[in-house]
Amino acid sequence: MTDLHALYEAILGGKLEPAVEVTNQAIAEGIEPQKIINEYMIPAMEEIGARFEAGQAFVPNLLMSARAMKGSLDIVKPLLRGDSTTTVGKVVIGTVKGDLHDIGKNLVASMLEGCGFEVINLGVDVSSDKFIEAVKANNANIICMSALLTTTMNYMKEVIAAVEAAQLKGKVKVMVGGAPLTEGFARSIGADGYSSNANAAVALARNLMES
Amino acid sequence: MVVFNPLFSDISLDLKEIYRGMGYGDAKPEENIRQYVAEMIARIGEVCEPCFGYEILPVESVGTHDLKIGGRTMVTGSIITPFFRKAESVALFVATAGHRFDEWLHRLRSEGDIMEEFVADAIGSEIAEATARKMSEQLAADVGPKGMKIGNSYSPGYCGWHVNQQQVLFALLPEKPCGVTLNASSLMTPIKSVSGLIAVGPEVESTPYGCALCGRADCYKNRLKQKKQTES
Repeated sequence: MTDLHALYEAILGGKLEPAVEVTNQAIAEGIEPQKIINEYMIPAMEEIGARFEAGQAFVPNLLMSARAMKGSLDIVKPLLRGDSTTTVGKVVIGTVKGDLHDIGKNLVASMLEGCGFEVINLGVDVSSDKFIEAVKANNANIICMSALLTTTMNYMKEVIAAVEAAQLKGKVKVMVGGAPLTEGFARSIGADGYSSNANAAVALARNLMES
Repeated sequence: MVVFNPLFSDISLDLKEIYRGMGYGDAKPEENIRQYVAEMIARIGEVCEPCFGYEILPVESVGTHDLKIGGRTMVTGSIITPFFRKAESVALFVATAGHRFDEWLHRLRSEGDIMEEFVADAIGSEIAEATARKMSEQLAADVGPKGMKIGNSYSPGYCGWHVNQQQVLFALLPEKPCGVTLNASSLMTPIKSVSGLIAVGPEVESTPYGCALCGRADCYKNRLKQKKQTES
């Protein structure tokens, strides 16, 4: 009988191989995929997230946990096909036009993927047209924008204007982040949410999916 | 422009800065993470060809917010400009981790391992900074025998010196200095590059430089400082 607590510990400790191994064993034994996700994977990610917020874990710990989580999710996801819980939501993510910084954005993308979101990563220097095209093509729920410079963060306002012009406002939520941004800036440009780190971004994306 | 191509092994990387770039602040990472970083640095050593260069030009005038150099006005802002009052000349510099590293980093990204990408990115930032420090040492050694001293290095994009002033800085340098180019947003390629100015003159002083200089609320360095103060 598989010790599923070992899966929880593997994800919490950011250990990909043990996480995959235990997940495979659990599936072979016929344990319900949804039970594996809800009772072991998600609690492990919530715990590492809580430790991060408390300053007891750091970004590499988050990343390794997300990687282990994704490795396990990739095994159980196909078994959930047809189930409405296959994906938590679809996120189109990119660093805005003029900005080439992508590591922060990729951290968020990785955490979102690790927590069950489907992520369409558009890369860097992304124009409003590209954001809108990707939202339409993928029927995305959320646009997630990043900028590292005070000069480029203002482009986010143009993307939000493009969302309105494309009559997507309300259909797709917009969340923003990046070193120079603040909650106040996010509100001033009409974004639906702001997060200051990759862990908080996941919580925000979940909230936006429910709102 | 004087250009140097130091060996990767001659660039002194500050591990604490790499860990800081990885979000550790002043905390020491666990042993497995430190080992991971050490192995990544060794891998990068195989592909990194750092380069730095500088051009020394006389200062024509110093205003309250700007400097006139080479017939061009560079708006350096009210925080940075006073540090050039005693300068007879300035060294305009570029330091970069180089194109080969940049291409390697892109390949790493395409492989999709976020942990590798994250650590390599943090190391790349420190390589650019360490190359800039190497440049400062070289500059000091070059101008010292002439009775000149050098100040701190300052870069567009920090402390109220608008990043678009990169265009003025690069216009005063030869085309593609150290292979570095600017895009329309004034960002450099390779992205792990540093550019800026250093005051040169017999009366110039190198002063402790840090976020005490400026309190801009939208600067990520100030944010980190505030967060640290809140937590302590």
